Amino acid sequence: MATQTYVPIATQTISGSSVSSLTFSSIPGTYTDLKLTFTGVLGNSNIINLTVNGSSSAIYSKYMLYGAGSGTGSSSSAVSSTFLQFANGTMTGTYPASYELNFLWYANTSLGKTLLVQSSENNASTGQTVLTMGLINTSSAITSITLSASTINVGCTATLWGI
Amino acid sequence: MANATYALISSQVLGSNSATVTFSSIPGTYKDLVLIINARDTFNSTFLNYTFQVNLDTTTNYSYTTEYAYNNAGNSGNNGATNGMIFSLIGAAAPANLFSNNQIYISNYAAATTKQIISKGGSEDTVGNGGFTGIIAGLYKGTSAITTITLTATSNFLTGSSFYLYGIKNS
Repeated sequence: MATQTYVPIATQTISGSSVSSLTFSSIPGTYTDLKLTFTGVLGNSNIINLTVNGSSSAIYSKYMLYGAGSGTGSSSSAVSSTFLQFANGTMTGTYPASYELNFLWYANTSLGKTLLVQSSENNASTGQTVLTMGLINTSSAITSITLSASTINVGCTATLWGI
Repeated sequence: MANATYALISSQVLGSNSATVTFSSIPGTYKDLVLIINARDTFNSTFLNYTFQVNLDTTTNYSYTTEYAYNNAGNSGNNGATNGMIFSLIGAAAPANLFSNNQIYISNYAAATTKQIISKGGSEDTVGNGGFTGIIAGLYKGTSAITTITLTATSNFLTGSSFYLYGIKNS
């Protein structure tokens, strides 16, 4: 049998009442890469913020390719920020959004961490799809990941995978 | 326990600069392949091309469509009948602590049909001020099973660059 290389580390499903953030902590450094998948309806029009290691320092930046509505792909860059977002402005928040975040070399202790993110939302009349190259300019290994929003509603699910 | 469907076939982490990276003798026992690349080129430029070829085929069996963001603008292009697919990664002019992040997905690589290839990735070339993000839809017209993948840098892939080839089963 092949070695299992795509291992679910943890899953969080929001139940009972909504929350404003969810955190995966004590992430083991034993994998090569991490993948985080998220789906659900969020407050503030499905916009979600990412931080790692509890850091709100200006270590986050990104470069996006997106298609929004009927418009063709375009791009956007951001100066260093205290968190990362993966949408082209406002999404509708009517239907669930999907996020797939890929962290390469997350446990490295000398290099910045690159992040390849696919995100999308469609509300049956319009939507957007975004490919984001993110950078977390820290030499620290990523040991915790926090997703936050004005509201993370009941039913939202996030799974962290080790690869 | 569910079957493991995402298996590491082979990996290469470069111990010295290398102009090419080759995966050969790829078994035909999976449905799809995924190649994860974290790399940079040694050439003194911010962004450089590298070439993707399979089965040592250097004929014009490749075509691809690109959509990418660069210099704060969206761009697209078609490349028909080329002798390899051109992807991008950062070079020596980018900050030293950055590597490009690329994923290449090859569907039905072992089938006796043409092959669909999707690549996505990019990198920042300056921290917080710009970079490259792109996605490529590619076609390889060869109908033999893919048993070899060759990546060729503009100059050299830098020491420490990593290449992980995974096989995906659907059962």
